Amino acid sequence: MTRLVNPAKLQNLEKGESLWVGAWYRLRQNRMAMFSAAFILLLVMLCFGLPLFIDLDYKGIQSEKYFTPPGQEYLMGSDHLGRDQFARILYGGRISLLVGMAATLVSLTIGISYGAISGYFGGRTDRVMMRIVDVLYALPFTMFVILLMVLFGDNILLMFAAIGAVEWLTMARIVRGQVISLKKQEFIESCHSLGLRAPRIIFRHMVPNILGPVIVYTTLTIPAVMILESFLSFLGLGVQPPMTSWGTLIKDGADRTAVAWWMLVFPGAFFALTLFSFNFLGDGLRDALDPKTTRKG
Amino acid sequence: MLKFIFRRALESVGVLLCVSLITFYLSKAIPGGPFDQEKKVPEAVKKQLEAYFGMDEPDWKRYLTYTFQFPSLPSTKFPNRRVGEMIASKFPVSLELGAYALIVALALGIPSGILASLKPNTALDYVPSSLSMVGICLPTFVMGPLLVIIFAVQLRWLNATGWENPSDKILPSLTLGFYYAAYVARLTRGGMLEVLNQDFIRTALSKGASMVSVIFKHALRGGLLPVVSFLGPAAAGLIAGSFVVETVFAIPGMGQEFVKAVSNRDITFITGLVLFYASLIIFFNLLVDIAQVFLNPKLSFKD
Amino acid sequence: MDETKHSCRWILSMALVIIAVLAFPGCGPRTTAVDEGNANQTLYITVGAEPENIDPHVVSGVPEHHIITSLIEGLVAEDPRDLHVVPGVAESWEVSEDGLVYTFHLRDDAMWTHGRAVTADDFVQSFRRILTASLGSTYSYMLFPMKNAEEYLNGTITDFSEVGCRAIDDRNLEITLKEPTPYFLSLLNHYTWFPVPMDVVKKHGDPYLPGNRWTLPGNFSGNGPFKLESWEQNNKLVVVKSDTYWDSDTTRLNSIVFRPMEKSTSAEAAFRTGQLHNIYNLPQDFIAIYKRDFPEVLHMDPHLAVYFYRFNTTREPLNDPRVRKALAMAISRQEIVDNVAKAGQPPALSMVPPDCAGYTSRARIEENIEQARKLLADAGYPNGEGFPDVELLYNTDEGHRNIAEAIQQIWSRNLNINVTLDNQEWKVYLDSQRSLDYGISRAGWTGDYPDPNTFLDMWTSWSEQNQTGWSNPEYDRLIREASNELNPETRYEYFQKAEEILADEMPVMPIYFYTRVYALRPEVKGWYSNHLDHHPWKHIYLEP
Repeated sequence: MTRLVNPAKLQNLEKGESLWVGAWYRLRQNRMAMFSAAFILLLVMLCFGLPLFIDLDYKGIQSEKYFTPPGQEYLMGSDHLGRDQFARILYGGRISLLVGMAATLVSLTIGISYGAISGYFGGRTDRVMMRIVDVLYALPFTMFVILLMVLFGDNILLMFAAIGAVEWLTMARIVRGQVISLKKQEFIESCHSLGLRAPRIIFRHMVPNILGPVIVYTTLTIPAVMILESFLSFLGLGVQPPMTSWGTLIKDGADRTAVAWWMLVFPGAFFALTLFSFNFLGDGLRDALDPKTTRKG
Repeated sequence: MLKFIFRRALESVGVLLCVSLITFYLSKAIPGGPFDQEKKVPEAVKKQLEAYFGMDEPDWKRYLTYTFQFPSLPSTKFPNRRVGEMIASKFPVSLELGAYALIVALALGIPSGILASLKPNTALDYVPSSLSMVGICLPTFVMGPLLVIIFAVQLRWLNATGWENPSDKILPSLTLGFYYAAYVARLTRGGMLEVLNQDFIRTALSKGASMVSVIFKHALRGGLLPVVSFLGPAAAGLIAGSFVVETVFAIPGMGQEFVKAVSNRDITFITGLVLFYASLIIFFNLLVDIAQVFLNPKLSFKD
Repeated sequence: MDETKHSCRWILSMALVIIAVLAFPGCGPRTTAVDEGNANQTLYITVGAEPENIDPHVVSGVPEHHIITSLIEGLVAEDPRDLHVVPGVAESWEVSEDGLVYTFHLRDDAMWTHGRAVTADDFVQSFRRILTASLGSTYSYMLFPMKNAEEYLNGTITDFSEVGCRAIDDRNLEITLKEPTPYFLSLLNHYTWFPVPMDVVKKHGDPYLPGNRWTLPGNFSGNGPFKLESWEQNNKLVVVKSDTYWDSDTTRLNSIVFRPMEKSTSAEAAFRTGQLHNIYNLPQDFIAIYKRDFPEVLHMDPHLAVYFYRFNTTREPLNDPRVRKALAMAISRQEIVDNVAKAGQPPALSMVPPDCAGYTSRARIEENIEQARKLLADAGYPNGEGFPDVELLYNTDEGHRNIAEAIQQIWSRNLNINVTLDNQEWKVYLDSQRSLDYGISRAGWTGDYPDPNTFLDMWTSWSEQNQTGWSNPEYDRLIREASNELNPETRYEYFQKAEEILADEMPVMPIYFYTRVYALRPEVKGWYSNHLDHHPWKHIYLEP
């Protein structure tokens, strides 16, 4: 153990940059997390890279070849219009991975800052900020989306915004709950007595300590967002056919299990594996970033 | 605490007003009205209908009518019904379904979350963690039909649709519950790990306290905090009903109405639904805030 | 560590108990709703969506039609096999020589369920009700063939006695038409012509406003073969046999349970597990399975409706009839029907379905890719070069999406042009279509009555359903001439000429004629296929 950590690193450890260095070290020790990270990387390369090298047609219709089972001709079968399911999964993965990560990032950023500020300052600030969250929760999302679509046309960026705009609310509430309970702990009190400024206390000392639940919730947001995306395209916002996404593919497949199981099983498997990978990677990150494990080590 | 609740109630009035005002303007802004249909309604007829539903009044008057009298207003889509009675007839169904789903979610989620947190990154963690994630891997629109195929079509144990016999309630509750169970399990695991690593737990353990008693006496309080934060809006959403589950199982609940009322541009019904849902959200978030104080002895209602 | 194990075991046993409790109720063989229904003549049926109302003067949908016809009967009724007009509340009628005046003789045993006889005045008051503007009936135009009906609705006439209907006495009713209308009697089977009991209606609110509550269970009174028992929104509407109905000897069902089923795959599961006697719309991917495995329950009926694309003729490049023709000629409708729509729909090469009241269109679209390419080149887009970006609009629905995706690919393959797809939520789509904010737009039209006119008068310049920006004075003239023509042959000749103009200018591109694909259990007897999807309930019975 001692041999792996060199003295220079140990010095850093005291300085407080320890969190990230130590975390990276600990993350590498977590086999499941590294395996998951590798899988996600592979998937991204497949979805974004493979279509550049081999000829994959996601929109060409061979209408007489609808519902061809997986085999020689179509690796993962063909869909109800006779399109190559494999190509569609890869192209759909681009959209889903992009939407999943970007929207999650938006919701993460807003959620953490909003929740932490609200929880930290408490009092009237907190009350006003949380009532705003209540208002946003209650607004009819369907109407909001229809209006967005009418005003701005369909646009991928807009979709991220719309999804990010709803997904951060619960995140903010979770972060706020954690911050409030943290506020009363000794080390935060000592930060106050040291005269540290609020932004520094919040983002330097509090946020790292609440990352656990935040990471967990983030990894749960990714699949939720991917599914939400298919609901948005139902309302006319988001990707337009023949482009597709995993949410849409799964939805199309769900009603056809009796006729073409492969239309659900393959996109579903990609979706599930991605989801598992993100969750295990999230768990690894959580463990690695937990300041208390540092002390243990 | 009473003072806290009272102040919250006052604030809630403001929240409800904001919600109703924004909803009113949203409904004005989106294209299409309640009486637009494929075969175009003659202009004169449309005018009469709009007059009946007060849509020709000035904005402020419309807003006041829709907001403060919604229970007694007729729905624009189902004109022989009143908004209040439509909500009253559907909410009990959604409440029941939501409550069952919540029980499923907690009964599956919390134990498997605790189990997973005891020995992180071992089989004891991976197995319950993976199982709990099935609920997310199979979104409700996949899980519902899948359960129907297994238990209704193949095994013939249960009905495929409906909400009449007690047994009809099993599949919808499971479908909805599994999804939330995944969240609960993951958040419990995360929260528990956070707590189990803290000094006071280790101290307690080193003093010879049993694991079970430590979990139930000390760890669970802090460990459930993220779950509790999540449950506020989640419970409100659960009881308000789920569009997918209600359409898949043909259940006469309130969840499908949120989507359908908007597609129908049923403005009177939309206002009623939104205000009702806002009250649920406010109520559950209040419960959560109270629960947070109880879970954390260091907090008081002054914070 | 022992404690950990202990707690694991505890948690596991809890989980097992929960699973056991949940699994318990579903054991042993069960009698299904359909089994019970078959035993006591109860039909479990779905008609798609939840009915908006069961007031015949307020509603405008198809599910409502099915429910209302069980509760209320009009002057005439339909034969279940070929839908020819048979006596209803009127036991006989006469027509004047000029075809303008109809005299109906009402039977004296026609009763409302609240115990009063149905009188001629009930009909007059009902016509008056639906023609009163404040009621806001969206379908009141169905009564316009009646003299002065339109004028009364618009307010140009305020005295209802000038409208062409009169109660000679309790039993005799006279209806005067604006012009001879050959299909008038079959029009009477539309619910807008049905009577309502005004004394009951008045008891439950203003009879001339849509929010009246007489249609709720407990309040309702009808004169049909069934009476309203209960109505739980989104759950079920139950009607039971009415003993006061004049022909209650014919009625064999004891009750009908109407269940709304918004999701057709759920209806399919309910049907297969014995909860329903029918599936209102069989999901298209199940058609092949049902053909193979359960052919005895599968029904594919022709339907008086056409699926088509509108072209926005005010917009480049669709303002050029050559482009519109090229687009219409370049697709293979048979291929789309066989591989995409999959419900055995007849390809549509004209707007009017074949043999519509004895009329079959002469002018037909010629599917010819070579010719299409040539037309496109003539219009200035050789091999599709320089063809501007056109949007193909459709309302969100999987079926429409599939057709649109297929046609997009076919145009790209055959004409080398690119259209982009744009799906919109239903009411947004209606709005875009009406304000001509589209390039190409999908649409469907169901005939209001079996006559070519219902498919052709919508393309006149004054029609509100046109929505293409297209107009042609000669076309307008032909349709107007046809409506004044008494001789059916000459009348159809006008339609043929009008359709030639339509085929030449192609403001709309027909794709296929709908079929209604549904499943019905074989024990449901007295149900016959027809293109209007009308199935008079009193003739239906269950014979397992």
